[in-house]
Amino acid sequence: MISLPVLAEVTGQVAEATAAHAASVNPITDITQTFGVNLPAIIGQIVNFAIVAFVLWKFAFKPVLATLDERKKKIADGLRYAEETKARLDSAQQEIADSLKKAQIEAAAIIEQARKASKEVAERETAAAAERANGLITTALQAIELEKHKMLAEARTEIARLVIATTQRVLAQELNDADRSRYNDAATRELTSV
Amino acid sequence: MSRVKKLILALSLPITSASVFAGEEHGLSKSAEALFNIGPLPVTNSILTSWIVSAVLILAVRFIVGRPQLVPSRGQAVVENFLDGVRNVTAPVVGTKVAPYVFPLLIGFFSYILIQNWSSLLPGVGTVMFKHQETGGAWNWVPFVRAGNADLNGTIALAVVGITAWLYFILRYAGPKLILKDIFGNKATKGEVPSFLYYGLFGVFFVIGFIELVSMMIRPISLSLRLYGNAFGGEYVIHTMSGITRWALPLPFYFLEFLVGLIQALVFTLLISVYIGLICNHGDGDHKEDHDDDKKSH
Repeated sequence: MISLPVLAEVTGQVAEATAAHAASVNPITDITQTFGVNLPAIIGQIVNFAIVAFVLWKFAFKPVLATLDERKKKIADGLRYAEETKARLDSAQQEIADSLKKAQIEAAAIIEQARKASKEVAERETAAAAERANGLITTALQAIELEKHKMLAEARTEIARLVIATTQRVLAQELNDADRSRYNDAATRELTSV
Repeated sequence: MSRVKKLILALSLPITSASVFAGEEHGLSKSAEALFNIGPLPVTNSILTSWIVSAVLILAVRFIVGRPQLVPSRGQAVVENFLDGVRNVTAPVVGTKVAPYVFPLLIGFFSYILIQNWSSLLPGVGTVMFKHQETGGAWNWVPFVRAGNADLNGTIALAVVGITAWLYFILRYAGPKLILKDIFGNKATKGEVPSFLYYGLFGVFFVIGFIELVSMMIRPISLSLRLYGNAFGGEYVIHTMSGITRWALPLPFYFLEFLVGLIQALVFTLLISVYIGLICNHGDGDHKEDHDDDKKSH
């Protein structure tokens, strides 16, 4: 077992040694020496990093990012344009549908109107034709009547002449003008009554 | 040979080389080793790696993208998705007003940190060694190339750039008046709390403002140490696992580091976004959550 005086002596020596070491070596100096920290190397590494960062950015990353952003912009523009085109297409299709519907309605109205007009024309023409036909028929009937009357008159005259001629032959005698006239009138009267 | 076997063999190559070159009993140094000097600048293995990886990154992106077309090539589409993804994540955080101005910096951070983190997974990084004479005269094996973010100088540089840019953006797009109001101002709404409490809260928020200032001053330290810790820790784990056995054991840690590299790049970028958004992104409902996220990140 270690006696107390010895322990105290050892503790005292350790404390003295620690104090002496702390006094002789600056901790910051100790760290810089241990890790080899020195200003020229730090500055050298700063310059090195600055050069690398600058060159990479200037000649590699910046152009790539510019291209990337340009592509993003083009895609966004393209999408927006597609949306606008789609909206325009929808609008145009709607307009076409409206126009078609309107045209169909107008066409139906025109057809109906034409049908009505043609019907009217047909009716009018039919009526006119019927009227013309009736006129013609009436005229023809009148002409026929007249012709009939004329024929009847001629027939009476001829028959009367024939009656007279026949009678003359039958009677074998010559009729004077007064008798002929009397017989003619009598025959005509008789025929007229037929 | 099956695809799985081929993959295991391919991923084991750097592990094997690590064991060949680093099989001795040295560990991974916490600091990067100087290879040569250019004037006052000591070119360490980390700086050299970051230069090489940066050059490869620039050339690769330029080669993949080529001349950007409206109808993108496959490579251009990949880069576009990458950029659009980061923009979609950061823009709502910083606010639409400042997002276009901040994005070049944020994409720079993300791509640079990501590629630097992943560079530690490449064969040879941290594993190809050369003998280096220490100041004491002793010879030691040190890695010829070391991941850029596995050096505290690199992560401090990133944090300095981030905080300087943050200061510029908040002064440019918010202004000193809004900054002071945001830090020291009363966040309570007059109609929602009793009058005596509302006026009393002025004093509370004024004191909290100083705590906020302290947290702001800690930001560059937390940013740089978080990134360095993750990058160095990951490399150390892989290095250690490779030392234990050449085959299979380090494999899960490669996948882990792949994820950690991505997450840390995102965390760094998002934190810078949050810092900027906290001051500049006023007027949307996420402001309070941003404050909470900020405190959690510390």
